Amino acid sequence: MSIATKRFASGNEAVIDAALAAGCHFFAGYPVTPATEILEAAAEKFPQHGRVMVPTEGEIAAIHMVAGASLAGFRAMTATAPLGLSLMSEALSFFSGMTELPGVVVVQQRWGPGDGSLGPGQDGYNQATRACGHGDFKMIVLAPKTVQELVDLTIEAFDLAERYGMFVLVLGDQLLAIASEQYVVPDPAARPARSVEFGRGNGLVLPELVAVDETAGDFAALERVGRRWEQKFAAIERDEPRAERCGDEGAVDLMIVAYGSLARIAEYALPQLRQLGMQVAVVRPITLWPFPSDAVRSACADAKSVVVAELSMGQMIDDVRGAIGRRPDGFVNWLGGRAPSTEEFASKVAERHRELGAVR
Amino acid sequence: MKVVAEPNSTALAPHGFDFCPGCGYGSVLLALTDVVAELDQKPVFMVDIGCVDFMTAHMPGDVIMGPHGRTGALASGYKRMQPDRLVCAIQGDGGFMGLGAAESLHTAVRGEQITIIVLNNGVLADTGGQLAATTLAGKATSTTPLGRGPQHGPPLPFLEMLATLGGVAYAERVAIDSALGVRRVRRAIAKAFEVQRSGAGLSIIEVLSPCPTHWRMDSVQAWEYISESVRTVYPTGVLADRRDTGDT
Repeated sequence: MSIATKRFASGNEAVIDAALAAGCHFFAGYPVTPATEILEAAAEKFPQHGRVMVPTEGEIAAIHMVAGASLAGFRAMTATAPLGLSLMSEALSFFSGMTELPGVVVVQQRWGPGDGSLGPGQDGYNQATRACGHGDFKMIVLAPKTVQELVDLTIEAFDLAERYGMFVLVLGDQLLAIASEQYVVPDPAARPARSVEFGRGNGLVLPELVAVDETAGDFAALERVGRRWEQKFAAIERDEPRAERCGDEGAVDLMIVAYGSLARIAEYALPQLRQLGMQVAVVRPITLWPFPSDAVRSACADAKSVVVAELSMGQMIDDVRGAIGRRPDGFVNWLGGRAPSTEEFASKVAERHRELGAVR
Repeated sequence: MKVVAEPNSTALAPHGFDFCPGCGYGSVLLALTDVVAELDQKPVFMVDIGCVDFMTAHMPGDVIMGPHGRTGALASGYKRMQPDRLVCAIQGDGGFMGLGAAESLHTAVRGEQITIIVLNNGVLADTGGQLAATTLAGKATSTTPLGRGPQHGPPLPFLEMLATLGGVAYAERVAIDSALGVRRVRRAIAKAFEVQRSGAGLSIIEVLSPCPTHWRMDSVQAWEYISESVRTVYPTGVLADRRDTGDT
């Protein structure tokens, strides 16, 4: 029986409580702001619960060790920032895309290319949802907005990873990483190793694509593997999209589309926007892949205007555009590793909304 | 003519080898199969990308492939969670000393309880014989058509470097340049698994292996090239043995 405990800690520390509750037995990682405390919490708590934690020489080794532990049958994870995710991408293509091993990577976004800034960003969106490694493959990307949701989605990420045979990314940001909040988390639970069987017989534990390729070089057989993956991804797109709408019901004047911490700021800004006399709501994708196109489309269908808000130059906006079948009416963003206060958010969105009204 | 050994049908089945004529990899595979037959459990093999790929269908145990060069890290993660299994990484010199040098180095630093077999043929063979960290000075490759010159630096003595690390319990370099050499490969691999079982730390066997195709030689010349040239730069023998002394 799992007993839940109420705790108060930062998002980064909460990730490790969630991992212990999910029966994660292996953590390997390399420090990077703003995810470093996840590594440190794992170093403290994993050994206390008989789990294995390895501080590695870099992200590349970390993700390969996670793959090795997963191959050994155990739930395994790492945590990083988008720049670390860049280094892990080759391995994710190999082990999530081709080998179909389960695993979890928590990614706390900071803004910017290269070394970027240390503040919050959402410019890891395209990287996580479409460009994390070469080749035809997808990974489920979950985007929590609170520490409680970070806990719940991290636990669920392990289930999804095993259900579909893939790595699942939990895409947070610097605000979620350092914000301390109350959350409820099940107590640590041990989880026996699952038996690892995939590929072909004869004791070979090979990625199916390699197994087919090694013996035959048979392109029709290789395409069958590709078609199986295509069906798997289609099933996920059908069954797993998740979104949440909050704010005014029905046909609103303004529908804001945002995810993660910025969606939370948007929700807090709703009362101020209402004071300006508008009906307003927020639709928040919880799964970034699969993108909840139906939910976003239906939320935006009757809205007089649709404004997308991001801590990037505009990445999710492409998915919103695909979902609603037209260019969103407005876009507001913050760059440099800076997130707005609720007042700043409300005034910028209201200003954009007024401009849209003037155009109409 | 006296038959000294029957081909190992377990290793050859069902498709036969894909190695080039004169390649040393088949000898390593047969030696490995013989050693594993004597063990009380089948190891898990982690195979790098490269000509070592051609071994996957013949390995005497479970096999997993990983991205190029990172085999040591992959094997480390597995071994940490399955400490009772024998784990063996199989890599070429390109993956082990080139692209994956950092992962190899730190696998050795941590003294992971695994065995790494490195097949050193002095070129990036799988892609057509390009310059590797191990290519001898003056040797022509497809990316150094005039030979390895000063601008490429001298060949990398990676095993010598790793042998200085306390985490490396056993390091031996052997060569496939004679029938005796092949027997030494077998003996070295058996010793490496013994070391792994003892929990002393990392065991690494580097095998100097002929690549007649990319060395542009016949098989006999390739063996001679190892004996006369490669072994002067990469001397065979035991480079580290910390099994009993506890010396770090």
